[in-house]
Amino acid sequence: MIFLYSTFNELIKIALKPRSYLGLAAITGLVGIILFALKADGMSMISFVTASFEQTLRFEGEVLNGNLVAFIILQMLIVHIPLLVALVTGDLISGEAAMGTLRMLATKPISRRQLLGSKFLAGGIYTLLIVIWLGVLAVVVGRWLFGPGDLMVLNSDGLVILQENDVLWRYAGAFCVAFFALLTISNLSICLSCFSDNSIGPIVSTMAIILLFTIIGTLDVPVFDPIRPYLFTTHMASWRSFFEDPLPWDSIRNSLIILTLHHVLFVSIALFAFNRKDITV
Amino acid sequence: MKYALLLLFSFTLNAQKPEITFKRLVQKFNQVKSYDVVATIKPTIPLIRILPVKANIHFGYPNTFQVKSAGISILPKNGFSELPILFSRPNDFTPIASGTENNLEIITLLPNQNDSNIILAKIWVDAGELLVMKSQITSRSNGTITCEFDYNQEKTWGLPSHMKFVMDVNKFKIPKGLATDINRTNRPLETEGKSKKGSIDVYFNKYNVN
Repeated sequence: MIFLYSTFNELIKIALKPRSYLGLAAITGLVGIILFALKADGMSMISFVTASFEQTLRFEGEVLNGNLVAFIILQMLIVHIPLLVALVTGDLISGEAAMGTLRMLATKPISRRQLLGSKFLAGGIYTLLIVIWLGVLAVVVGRWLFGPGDLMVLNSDGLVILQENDVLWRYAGAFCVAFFALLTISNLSICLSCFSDNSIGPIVSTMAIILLFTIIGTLDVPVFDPIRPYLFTTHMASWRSFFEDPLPWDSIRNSLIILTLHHVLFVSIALFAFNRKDITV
Repeated sequence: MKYALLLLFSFTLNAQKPEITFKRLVQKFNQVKSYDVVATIKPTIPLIRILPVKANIHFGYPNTFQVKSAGISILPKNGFSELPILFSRPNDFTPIASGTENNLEIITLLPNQNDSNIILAKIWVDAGELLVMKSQITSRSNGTITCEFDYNQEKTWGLPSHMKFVMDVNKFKIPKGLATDINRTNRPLETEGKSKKGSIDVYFNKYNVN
């Protein structure tokens, strides 16, 4: 029970910090700009993608629809969401250490393990809220403004056109996987937060790690081939697999396993570090 | 002299025959002023994965096609209207006999004007039933598109039950910058080593001829 109270307290603390709304506001603003741009001149962007096909073929029907708009938004924003997540979750322990409230918190009748667990849970709930808000803006508002329709997705394999009645469950799956991937960022930043006594360190470190792993993942150099499949950043984009036909279940399952191993690793390191953290100074 | 005259007469007959066949095809085409039909469009194109789509097609004489589909469908650019263009403007083309193939008369249609969008057209005609069984139209805008026709109940109007468009898809390219799959850097394209021809099958049913 005390664990739930502690989680509730952590959520209140997150809710009271102005920076927590920065992420939601940034997503709202960015999605608004993308929606406006697509409404104003979306077809030119689409024709840039389909230009080589349209020399011979003609696409009939509403290509620019709410489902495509949602996909474009996800594609554009999911890369930036980790920063917005780390901005809040990276501060959960180090922020309290910096303000000196961590010592006071530890005097309460709650074990350090439970205290850390409640921070992980609160960070996860915040991440979930970010993903849900992105989903509402992308899918609900996108479909409301542009209407439903078949989804045309451009993969490296070519164009995949998914029928309208086959799309919504894919979005549900994609958002679940995207949340699971972002949860890795949340856990990583909380883990790093255990080693720091200031707010900026874990946030910057999280972004530096993401940047480093992304570069290693995208560099087509054979020397990185053995490690690339085990980097969590390689699996951050696995939400896209839900828009392939047929669905690559093996690839999705593999991504979820790798991400789960990262979750376990970060939580374990955080528990180890937090249990031994000197909070008396 | 008698043999020479006979030879000249036979050449004249051969020269007139494609014109007559083409004229009769045009007359048959002119019978239909408009029609509506339900079509099932099934593309098989490298680099594009799409399920068959149903669409309603409205034809208005001479060469207007309106396609309405519930979702996204893929059709050859101007694929439906190029043959009607040939028939609606017979004076713009000169028919030339190009032999026979499987009992079908082959007629090559050459444009009379240099700036015509259609550069060359070839049609395989069942002269007995006056049906175009195959067409190969090369245009400036779309390249060469081959189309095969099957007929069923509406063949008296010259309306097909199935059309198969075959087109060259060598020039299709995926803009790499837009198709960023982070975990797919080393995966080869599916089309490598495969045929570079694409086809679109269109099945027609429920004709409503006016």
